Amino acid sequence: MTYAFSEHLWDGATHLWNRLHEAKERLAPVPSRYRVIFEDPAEPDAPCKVLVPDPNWLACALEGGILPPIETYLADKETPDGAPKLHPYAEPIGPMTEEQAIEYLVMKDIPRRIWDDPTANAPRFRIVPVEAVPSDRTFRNAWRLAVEPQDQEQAA
Amino acid sequence: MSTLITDNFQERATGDSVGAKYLVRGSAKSWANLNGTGTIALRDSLNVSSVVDNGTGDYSFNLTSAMANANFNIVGHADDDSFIMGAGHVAVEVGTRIRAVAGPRVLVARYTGSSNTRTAADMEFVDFSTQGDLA
Repeated sequence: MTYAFSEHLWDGATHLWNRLHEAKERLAPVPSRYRVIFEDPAEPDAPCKVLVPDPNWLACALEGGILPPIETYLADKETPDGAPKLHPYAEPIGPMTEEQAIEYLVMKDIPRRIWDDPTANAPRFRIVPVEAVPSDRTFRNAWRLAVEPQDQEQAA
Repeated sequence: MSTLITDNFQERATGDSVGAKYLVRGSAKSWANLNGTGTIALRDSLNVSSVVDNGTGDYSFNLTSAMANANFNIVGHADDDSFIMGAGHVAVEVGTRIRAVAGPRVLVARYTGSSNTRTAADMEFVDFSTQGDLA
């Protein structure tokens, strides 16, 4: 069952956690068709990482009227722990497409140095269909982000 | 949504009561149940936006609504069939350097043998919950 949150007139006066809690009661989870694979220059010896969107979160993103603007999360990353944060009481944004939601998640849950570093000479992340991620984890700690020919051209 | 404003909850039959602070401060602010094997996937969750597979037995949970500070409590659990069969005990470790308000990073390891050799391990069930104050 889908519930039109726009009818509920959510606003920034309702804490984000309360909106999430009610959304979980009303929205069916939506498993994503995408994964984000990335490498962190802060951990050069680590294997590449795989970000998996949460199905309940994606349902909220597609529904609209629940999640705060991404700018509030980016501002809050600069706010010290214990100080008031912007995102819990920010005015919710409207519905997103799945692709927009994945871009939102990249900015929210992946360090900025990975997706916004003008000095990088190759992409540090890639959004891929879920089928592109190996399900055999035998050599999980040897996974690396493949360098594509277009990446080398870009670097040159 | 309507708001019930009260300081105390009392059971009618027994008279047992609990203060509102117990519910507000004591209830889980986030939780997740993850299948950490194969193509990892969240089975269910509350207040989680994504999980990051950092490597074998190494997962970061990102919260949608962040905790107020890094002094929150984390409860973790992991198991799989080999644990049930007694192949060793499983430990869920939470790296303190990554106990961030945006979510915890959880390390899962299996300890085997008489010397308790530690090996990072993917588990079929990796669960966590957090209690504390929300931002």
